[in-house]
Amino acid sequence: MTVLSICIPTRNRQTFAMDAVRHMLRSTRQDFEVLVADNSDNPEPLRLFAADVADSRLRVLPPEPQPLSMRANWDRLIPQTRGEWLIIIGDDDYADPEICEVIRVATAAVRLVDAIAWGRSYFSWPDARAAREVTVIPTGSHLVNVEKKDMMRKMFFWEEAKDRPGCPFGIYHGAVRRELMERIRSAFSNTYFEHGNVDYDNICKTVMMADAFVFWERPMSVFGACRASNSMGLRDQEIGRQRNATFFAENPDKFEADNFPFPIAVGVTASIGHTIESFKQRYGIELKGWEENFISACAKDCETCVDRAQFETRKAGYAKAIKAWRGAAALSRFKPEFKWRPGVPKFLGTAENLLFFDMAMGDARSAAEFYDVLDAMLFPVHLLETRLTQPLRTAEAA
Amino acid sequence: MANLTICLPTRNRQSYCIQTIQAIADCDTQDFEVIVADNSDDGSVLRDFFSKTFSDPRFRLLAPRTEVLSMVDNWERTLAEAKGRWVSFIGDDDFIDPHVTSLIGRYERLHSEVDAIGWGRMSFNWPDNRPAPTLASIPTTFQTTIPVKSDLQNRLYRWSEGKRRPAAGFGIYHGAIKRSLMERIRRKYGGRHFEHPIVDYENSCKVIREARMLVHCQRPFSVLGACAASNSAGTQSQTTMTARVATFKQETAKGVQMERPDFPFSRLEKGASITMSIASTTWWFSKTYGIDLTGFPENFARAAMHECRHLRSQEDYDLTVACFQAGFAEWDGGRWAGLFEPPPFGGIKSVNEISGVVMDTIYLSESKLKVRTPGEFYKFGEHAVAPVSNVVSGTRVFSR
Repeated sequence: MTVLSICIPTRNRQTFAMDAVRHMLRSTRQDFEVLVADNSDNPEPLRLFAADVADSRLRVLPPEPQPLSMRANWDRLIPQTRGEWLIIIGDDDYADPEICEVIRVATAAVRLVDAIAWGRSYFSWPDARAAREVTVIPTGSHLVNVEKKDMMRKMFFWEEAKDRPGCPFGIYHGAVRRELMERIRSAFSNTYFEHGNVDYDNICKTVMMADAFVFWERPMSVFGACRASNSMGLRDQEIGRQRNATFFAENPDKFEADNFPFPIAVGVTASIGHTIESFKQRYGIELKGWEENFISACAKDCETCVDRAQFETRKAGYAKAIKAWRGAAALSRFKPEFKWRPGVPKFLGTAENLLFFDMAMGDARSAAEFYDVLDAMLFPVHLLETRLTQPLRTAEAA
Repeated sequence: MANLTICLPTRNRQSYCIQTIQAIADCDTQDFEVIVADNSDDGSVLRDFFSKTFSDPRFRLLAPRTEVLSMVDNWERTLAEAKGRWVSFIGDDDFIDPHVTSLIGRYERLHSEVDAIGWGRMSFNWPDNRPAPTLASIPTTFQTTIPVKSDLQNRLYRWSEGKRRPAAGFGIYHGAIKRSLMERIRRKYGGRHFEHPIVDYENSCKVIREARMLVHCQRPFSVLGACAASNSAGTQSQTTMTARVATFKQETAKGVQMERPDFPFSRLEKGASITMSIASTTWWFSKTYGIDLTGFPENFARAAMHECRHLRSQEDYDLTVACFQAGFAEWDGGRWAGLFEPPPFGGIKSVNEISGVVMDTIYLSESKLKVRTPGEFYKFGEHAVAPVSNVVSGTRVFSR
């Protein structure tokens, strides 16, 4: 039986996807599959790759005659999957097939669980790294039972948000039951994904529809960022403009919510704000009391800037939007500070259940190789069950 | 004059030794020297390496003597050749970062009295020394501490912590000792720098008694390596341990004897453990030089039980427990035998399988690592610890 389908939508970055797949197929597990949805202009590289690999666990969906929007490419994946559980990652990311073991243990502990997430880890591919870069991973290994109401608050009320809501549950870098995706489709306009910001669109729906959530503190996947990725646009204004232009050219669906005057290009918080607002507006969900947290997140988005000019531009963009949205008084909540101190060395080591280390550790050349480094120094997946000698922790206790 | 002499005694493990030499030579620092003291049966391997392949004025080779030296004698002749103001010893399958000289310089500037410096150590099993799951370790903290000598003495002489290994923290092995302190030790302790076959713990005993000031840096500057041919490989298997003990005793037949009638554990081979070897050393030192041992029997019994809890198989457990029991029965007329009550064997345990971060140390599953040597592992590990430059400059503010 296929427990897990690891889905990789890709467009014109075939070599990245191939690297991830090659590493996944090293696993001796037979209870997962990898499904690549190729949306590239040239179908040959992935077709030849699949033929060369000749592994029944790998399937490649060839490109359609015309390139699909990202949303449509994600959408066509789901009906093709065979797994009981599904995960989608980017082509420059990585996910460990051992997620099957996490699913086994989590479902044994919480029968109704239909959304599983894990600790985050981030990797910039060498081509996207200008200089030394420090990354951070959680070092805990507790399996945590997360309350739905807490996730609702984090997602829709932006509680404890940094520059984005701190809700990890969803199909992107999380595992969701296939049956949950079907419920989502039937509840929301007969389609799996509606908004161009597919990951956050799905988080909204997962939080609304899932019955039970389990979180494992230990990272099981890697968010990669290669030079050609959209995430690079968050670091470089010019690249950001180019990526946005390409994205909107390739994704003609309506992206912006009504009466939400935040230009998408101003920052990631605005972009996610549009996604959540679009979802709420489409399905008639009206909430009060989230605006202040959202404005704080806008300030935090400004504070991620490592360039003074970029900070000022972003700050001005958000300030203008906030004023137009909720009036000048709302700006009292918006007080970003430029915190980047290039002369202060970066912390390396452990603090507050986190490990800070130089991304070049182990000389990883890809997200998959980076995961290998993490895997060597994190709690072993095969011993996860031993963590269950006591009842599952609740999020508060963790 | 070199600031630091790194002493590298070696015997019949030339290939490891050569890799260690090359890893140290990679360092661009100039204010250190390395003395390679070859005690091998075949001196041609290292001689040829030094004459044909390797050329670095910071390194010197001492050729084997006509007769094989005991380890303690090989260490003794190495130190006699040292020219550095500070001296450090490592094993031929270990690694030390010569940049530790800048740490020594900082501590000397801050504390003119300092004559013993310790630091954190990474640990790494060579790929040929992994018969079962093994873990490498990287301490990630970097604070400086100045311990109270009496605390150190309590821990080492009287085993106050009751753990299977007493925490020495200071000594010439994977530490730096001022040469003037080593000369003081030589004058005071029988005209030799080293006496007992377990040279590292023997030296720790002397250093923490004689040092004027000891300063410790948590940041690792060296790697405790263990190859298949090392004595530490005995920790991976009881069979290996028994063989290593026998060889060790044969090669150290002269000089101070490990076997003491007043501490009968060291006479036993089958079921012997490193805990017993260390205890025989600290016991020998304390008895020889009049150290108060109040509390040692009780603490050693706790340490013995702690050791038993770490054994991996029923067979190892049975052998080790029997060995301890025989020792306790004979020791001091069986006076302390009642204190040794090891818990029953806890079943086959996942020893050394739990990688992760515990108490600011990263434990890594070695089977998943690509690095092959302690030198490579050190470079790997440095990505998760504060850079030497920050430690040496006393940086206190970091951004996250």
